[in-house]
Amino acid sequence: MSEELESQMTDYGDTEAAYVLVILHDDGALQCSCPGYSQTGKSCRHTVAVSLFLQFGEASNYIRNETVQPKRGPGSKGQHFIIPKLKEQERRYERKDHYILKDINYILQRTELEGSNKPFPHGEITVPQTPISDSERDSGSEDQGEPDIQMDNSPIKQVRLLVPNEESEEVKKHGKQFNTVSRGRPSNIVPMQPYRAKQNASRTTPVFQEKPGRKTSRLHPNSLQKKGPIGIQAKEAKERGMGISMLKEVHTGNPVGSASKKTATTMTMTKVKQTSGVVYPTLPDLDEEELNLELEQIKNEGHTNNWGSDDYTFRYDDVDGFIPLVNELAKACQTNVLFIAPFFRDALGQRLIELGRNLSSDELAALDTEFFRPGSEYARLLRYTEVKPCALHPDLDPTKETKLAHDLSEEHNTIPKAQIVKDVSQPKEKKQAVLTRKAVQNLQNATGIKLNLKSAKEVWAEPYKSFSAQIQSGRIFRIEGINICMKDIERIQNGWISDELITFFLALHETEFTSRGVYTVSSLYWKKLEQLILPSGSDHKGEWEADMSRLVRKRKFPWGDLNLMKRLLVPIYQPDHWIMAVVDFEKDFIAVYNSLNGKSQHGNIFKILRTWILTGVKERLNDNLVVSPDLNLNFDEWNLETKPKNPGLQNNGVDCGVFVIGHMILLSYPQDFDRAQIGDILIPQVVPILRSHLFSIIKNGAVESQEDITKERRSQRLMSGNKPTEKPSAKYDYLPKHKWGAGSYMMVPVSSDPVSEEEQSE
Amino acid sequence: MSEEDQHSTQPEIKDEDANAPINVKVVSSTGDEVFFKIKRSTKLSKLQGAYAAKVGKDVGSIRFLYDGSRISETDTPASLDMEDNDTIDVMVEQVGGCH
Repeated sequence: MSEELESQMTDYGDTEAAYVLVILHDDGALQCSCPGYSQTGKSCRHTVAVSLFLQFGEASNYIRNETVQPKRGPGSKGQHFIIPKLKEQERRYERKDHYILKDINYILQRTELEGSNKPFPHGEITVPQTPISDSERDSGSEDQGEPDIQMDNSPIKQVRLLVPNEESEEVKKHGKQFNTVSRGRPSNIVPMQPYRAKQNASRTTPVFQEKPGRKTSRLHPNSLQKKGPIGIQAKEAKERGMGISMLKEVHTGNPVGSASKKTATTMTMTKVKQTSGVVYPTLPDLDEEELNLELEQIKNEGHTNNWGSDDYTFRYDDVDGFIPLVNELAKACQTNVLFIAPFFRDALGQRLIELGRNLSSDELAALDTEFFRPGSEYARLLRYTEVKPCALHPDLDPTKETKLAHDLSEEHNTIPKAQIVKDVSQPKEKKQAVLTRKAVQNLQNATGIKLNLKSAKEVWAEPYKSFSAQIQSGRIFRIEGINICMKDIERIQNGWISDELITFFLALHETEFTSRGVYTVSSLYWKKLEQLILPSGSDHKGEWEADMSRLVRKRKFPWGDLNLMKRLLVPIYQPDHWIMAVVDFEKDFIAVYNSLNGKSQHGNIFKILRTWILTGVKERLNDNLVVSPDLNLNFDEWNLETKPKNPGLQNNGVDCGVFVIGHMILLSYPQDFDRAQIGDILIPQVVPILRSHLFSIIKNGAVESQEDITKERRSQRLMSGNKPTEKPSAKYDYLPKHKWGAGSYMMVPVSSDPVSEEEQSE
Repeated sequence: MSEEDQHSTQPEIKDEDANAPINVKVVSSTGDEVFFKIKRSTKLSKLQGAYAAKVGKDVGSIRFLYDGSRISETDTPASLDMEDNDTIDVMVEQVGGCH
């Protein structure tokens, strides 16, 4: 010990010191500067505290250490005898209904004695105070203001707790006959066992007293996680494991971060380990230090913080609170970053991709009403995946951001039209240009589409603009009674293709196709078939075969008549991807064309087609109509092609719907066309032609409706402002988890600030 | 006389039938069911709007099918020959480009 320290200690010895100094000597002895120590030389509370600190670390770590280490420090004499006992008790309580009943009895008796009506004073168990009365419900439905539509209210589930006094009497009466399944001990009640109370009284209070009972040391006191039996915890954790792994790019070592940024990243440290079922819940209101402590705990337990790995998944409610925070941060950094939760990726995420990222604030405001209106599910945020996933932090850097946005938008624009005739001097390009020209000519010859690359481009100038302006001005166009939406029109030029567009295409080509003996159904009809036929489908119930024949009867096809029905074309939607199947009744083959050339549950497709065809033929025979004798219904002899020769292949992540349309056009010529040529004609370079063709047939086929239904629409809009009755998580459970991978970010100007607006209005 | 009386009352009964509301079940692809009571002459687009409001979705992003075919804006239960307790299927919009 140095002289300086000595003098310091004497200085502070007499007066009220702001702090005391405890010195650790080389031999492990502790010396304190407090008056008590200097006078008596005995160990004071400061030295004891330091020795405990040295042995067990921070006090907040202590709880964990207590359970992990059976041995105690010198200050907690006798503790290690109690620990095993506690463990025994723990086991006994958990398992037997008898004990639980006993506890309930005790609590109920006590409440009776005390005259309190609240058996669970902690308020953790919420009881519906007043069940919604019938009159209220009725008035609610009347408010809808639709006189000729009455909506039945779905029954509201109510958990009813018995009034304690009644129950206690019941329990008393029945006593131990109450041996059926226990309704379980309320999770938060510490059972008040008489002998345990005695134990507590007789024991001297140790320095770090932990409440008896099961240790919930893994949960922080402020944790949102409900404490409950391990089984329930694990189950809940598993359910939450449906949560989404996202924002992998949020690195802890972010160079750009400000102080608030840091807290953000630490807050993201919450995670769910699906396999182990251990849950680290959100810690919303904690200091940074405490957070860091918690983090260290996590580290110590061997869960390393690998932000790039799949280990990091977000619970549903985590993301809920997290994303507005990140948005606020992004705004603070003056960047154009908007984070969108993953659940509703399909529609809005899609549309935002299609609209591009350079939206003006007016355009964003228009989107606002469409998607971010209060209560809409999209208002709860979406996820967005760009073709080129990027880490988060470059976006948060204002200097890098603009460049990045520029790059991506440029790339986006050039996707469909790339590599056409840019530079003829290079031989490769030249070859491609020749190939393209050939393919265009082939396409024109094969399908009768008169557009070439140049005229295809011109479609997007005047005709497209005027048509979209007409729709935007409130005029309504219909094809086959289905309204044409602006969002579908916007998709045609370079977006993903929606089922609506394919339905329009099929409806407009129906007569042409039937004249050639080719029949088609929409992808929604196929979806209905899937639901009926597949055992996992939602309509696959007892009488599904009757439903099936009814479905087939409604859509009258000349099944089995080879003169009339030669081919069947089906567009099939698999999550995020369009493929198509063709059935040839003359040549006995079924082929599935996938422009990605990948296999995707083709077994199911064959199964559905088989059942469908057989039902169709059966119904036709029931009606005593002609079925060709040449028809072969032994599917073992059919040719099932999961990978047909030379299909058209896309070179990006956008065009599969266009390829489905292209395949359908080409395959609608049963005799004249050799299927092996498809790949030579359907090349990515002809996609713009097909898109323009699609637009022009829709424009030509559209019929303007005379009635003015804008009012109706508006009322629908208003009504859909109601909150969704279902939880979104339940609805989107079926979405595959792995989809929410990297690249969960998007860039839209935050100037109009949809998130905060939506929060305000909510 | 009695026969004539019957004849005269028959058209009235038919009128009542035509206007009598029918029950319609709307089933989503996840199997959730919502029941509606609707007049046979009411346009089904109204039902679509009500359902969308109930579920909290945009009408443009869900599709309504009756026996596998799309319900158009002008359809009514009468025009589709719907009967009491028939089901309408709801499908979610399908947008694909693939990853």
